Amino acid sequence: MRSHAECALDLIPARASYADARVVRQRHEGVVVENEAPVQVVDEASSGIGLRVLIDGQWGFAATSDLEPAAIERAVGRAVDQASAAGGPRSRLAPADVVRDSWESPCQQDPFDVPLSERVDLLLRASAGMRRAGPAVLSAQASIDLFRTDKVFASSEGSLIEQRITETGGGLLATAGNGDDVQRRSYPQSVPRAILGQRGDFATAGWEQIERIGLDAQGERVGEEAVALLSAPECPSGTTTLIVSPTQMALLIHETFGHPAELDRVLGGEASLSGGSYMRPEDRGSLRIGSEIVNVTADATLPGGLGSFGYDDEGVPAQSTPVVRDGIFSGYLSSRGSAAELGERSSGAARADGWQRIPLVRMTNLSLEPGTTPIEEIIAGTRHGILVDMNRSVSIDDQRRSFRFGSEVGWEIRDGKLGQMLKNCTFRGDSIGFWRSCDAVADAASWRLWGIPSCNKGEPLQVAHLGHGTVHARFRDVAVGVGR
Amino acid sequence: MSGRAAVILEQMGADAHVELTRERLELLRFGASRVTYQHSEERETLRVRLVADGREAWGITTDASPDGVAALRERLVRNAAAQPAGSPQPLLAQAEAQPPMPTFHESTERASADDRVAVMLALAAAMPPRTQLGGSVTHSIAEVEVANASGLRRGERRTRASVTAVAERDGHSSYLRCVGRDANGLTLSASAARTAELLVEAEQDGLQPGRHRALLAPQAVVTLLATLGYVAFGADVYDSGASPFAAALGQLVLDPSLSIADDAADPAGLPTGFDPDGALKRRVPLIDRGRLVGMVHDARTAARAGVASTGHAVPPGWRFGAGPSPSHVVMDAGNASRHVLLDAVGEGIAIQRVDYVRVVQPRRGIVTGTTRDATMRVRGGRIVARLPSFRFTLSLPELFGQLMAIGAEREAGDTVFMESVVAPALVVPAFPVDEIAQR
Repeated sequence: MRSHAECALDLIPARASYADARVVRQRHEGVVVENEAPVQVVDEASSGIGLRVLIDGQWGFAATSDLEPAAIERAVGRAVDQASAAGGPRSRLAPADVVRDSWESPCQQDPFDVPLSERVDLLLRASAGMRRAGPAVLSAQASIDLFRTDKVFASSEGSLIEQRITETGGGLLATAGNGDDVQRRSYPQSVPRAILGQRGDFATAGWEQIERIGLDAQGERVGEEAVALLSAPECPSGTTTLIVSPTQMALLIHETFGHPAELDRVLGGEASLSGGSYMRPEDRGSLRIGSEIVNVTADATLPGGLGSFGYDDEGVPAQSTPVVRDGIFSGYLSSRGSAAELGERSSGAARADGWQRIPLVRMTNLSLEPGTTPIEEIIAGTRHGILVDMNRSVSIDDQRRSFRFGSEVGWEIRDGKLGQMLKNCTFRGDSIGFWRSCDAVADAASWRLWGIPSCNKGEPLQVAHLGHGTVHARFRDVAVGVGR
Repeated sequence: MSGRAAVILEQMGADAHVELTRERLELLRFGASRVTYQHSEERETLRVRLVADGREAWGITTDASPDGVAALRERLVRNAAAQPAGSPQPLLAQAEAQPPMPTFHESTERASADDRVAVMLALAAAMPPRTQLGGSVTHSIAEVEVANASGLRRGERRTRASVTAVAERDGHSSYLRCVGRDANGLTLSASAARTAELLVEAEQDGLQPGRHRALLAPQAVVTLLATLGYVAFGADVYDSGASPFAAALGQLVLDPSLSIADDAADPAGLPTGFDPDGALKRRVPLIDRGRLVGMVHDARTAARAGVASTGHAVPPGWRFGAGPSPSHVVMDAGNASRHVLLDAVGEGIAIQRVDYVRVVQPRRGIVTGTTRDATMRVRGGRIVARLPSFRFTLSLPELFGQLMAIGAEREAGDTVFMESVVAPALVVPAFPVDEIAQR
């Protein structure tokens, strides 16, 4: 791999002011079991090289899955042609240190060494547990996915970085129906649209992640809750106090803080697709986007985080970036190109989802920092409200302000106690107003880092793996229910 | 076609289904009216489904060399053997010849980096002064070959050209989307003129939550129709009871003036001959004058229902599910000109685009989303003012269940979960406004 990257850089013409090559080899093994049988056993392997060149201030990018020298030479030619065809204002790059290093994510037990039959057996046990809830369980799906990425980054500035990242995760999804209604329940984490192969909770870890989440021990509860939702009352429509659980919180901070903090969006680079952002540069350090107890950090150095790495795909070291401090918008996630527009250094958040794509500004591990109140006290201090758990759907506008989230399940809160289960819970609001209404953030006892392998962005579409550390938090005067 | 899929099939030496795709994707991205990236990507992807002793395993690799194929075969044999025996779907036999389909156009294959820059500059020239453009110009070609051990052989070259742009001027924006197989067939000039038309100076008006008569432009209908297709018209979804039209086959479920089909041969969309199983794509009437008349099948659901596959299998590991899914939804055009459509609105709103539409309650077909770019006030049958974007939450069966007018002209669009969607503009009597977006 290293020789391919160096070979490509040797072919870059001298008139290029900058070039880099990324050689990436990816493996994915996925198993999905539905009811009594495996329905998808997939083995994926992908390798190739992506080349960026900057000529007269214009970018060109070319990628190929063919690693023969002649193919690499053709790719270099295409990248140069692309850059030469572009015109207009010059792009710049923020300075970065030259790095020669290697990095490997922690992995106690290589998940690829665990026999497939063992993985299938575990998932069949979990599926059987879900189906014990009765015939109303229409589908009991369980899945395990393993990813391994080996990559070499080499730049014309002299950086040469080799990394190996192993990611492991799994999850359960029970779907229950009674002819009039269909409900679902997931564990340990869900993703919008129930994407096969990306369901559950992931970490940069080995098989120990599967042991930690204990899929087979949770199947029965997940199945029972899916069935119970069929007869649960509908979430009432109105304005109430809302407690957001850590699983739901992961998507909430993702959409309302994470994407708006991506500097390429802020600068208009994603205007036609993903949209823009309410976090304008002139407001950094002064705009209140949450109450004083709201603190959010993007940290690519958290051990085991799905958004953890040694270096990003521009060779910039992983780092921690404050996004919200005491409720004030404080910082951006950035790449070398976007940071240069503000005269700053990159925050090390440029990542591509493979050899064939350009690095974009992506979230790393974006976390809501814990507060000081135990969750039990937060619930006990809530006279009337709803606790929502596990994301089921999300929609947010192109500036990342107007949102509506749907949760798999809700629990009524009456006089400081959790009450009956509620179904079809949704809540909506404006990002800034919503976070300003936050009056309690749970303490570190319930803090948990989730791995989300399904963040979409860019054209061509890229799917990023990232992490979110979360706790419960309480919000006042929130619009809930469909309200139709 | 090169016939390499058949050669690889022989190397697999087992009951296998092979799909080999060679792709070239060329893309220009621009933002703030300047080129931000030129992107060129070439790849070969081999997908194999191996069936052995009542078990099956899927493999996907970018290494289709003899060594790569041998390594994949070894892994798949091992993976199949590690599973309990089941009843995998038999390999599809070649029942009929593949009819010719206009899937390939030289204009798209030949398009160069300079051509893409020229498209961007032409769009910029069509906009009023002070307009900033962001978007992309894409040309791609894919050669797809399918071969299986039951003797099935298919092959097709597919080109795809698309242009997306958001034009921003004085804090307001307007949208353009053109997609088709033929780069020369894209109606860029007309689309750019319509985009520019909505950037002209107009007063900003306020909007109150409630229900408003609305003109939905074709690209807004494309997104909402694609979402309805995804939640309602797949055989698995229907059979599970999760479809908003569950158990309603033959019943009137939408406005009687509405007919919808899945038609991969319609030249207005992105013609496609066969699905990843190699099954020929068949025209499937879904809604006939408001009545639910059909749904799409892959080989598995077709066998369960005792019918033929309609050619709607999705690739293994597809990000949006495993069941059959509509791929080329087309809505019949009506006869209303733009002038007639605006007259039908009278007093109301015009929505150019909807965004981030997500399902809130699949069984009831309830979705939420926001309007984006040009949302306008219509008064006296004329567009008179700008409106802020807003959030809506609505039932798709209710939205498409009562129409006031259907446009005569259709546009093609697409989504990440649907290859192509063709739809006209619609006028609806009561489009819900939940909440006005803050800026």
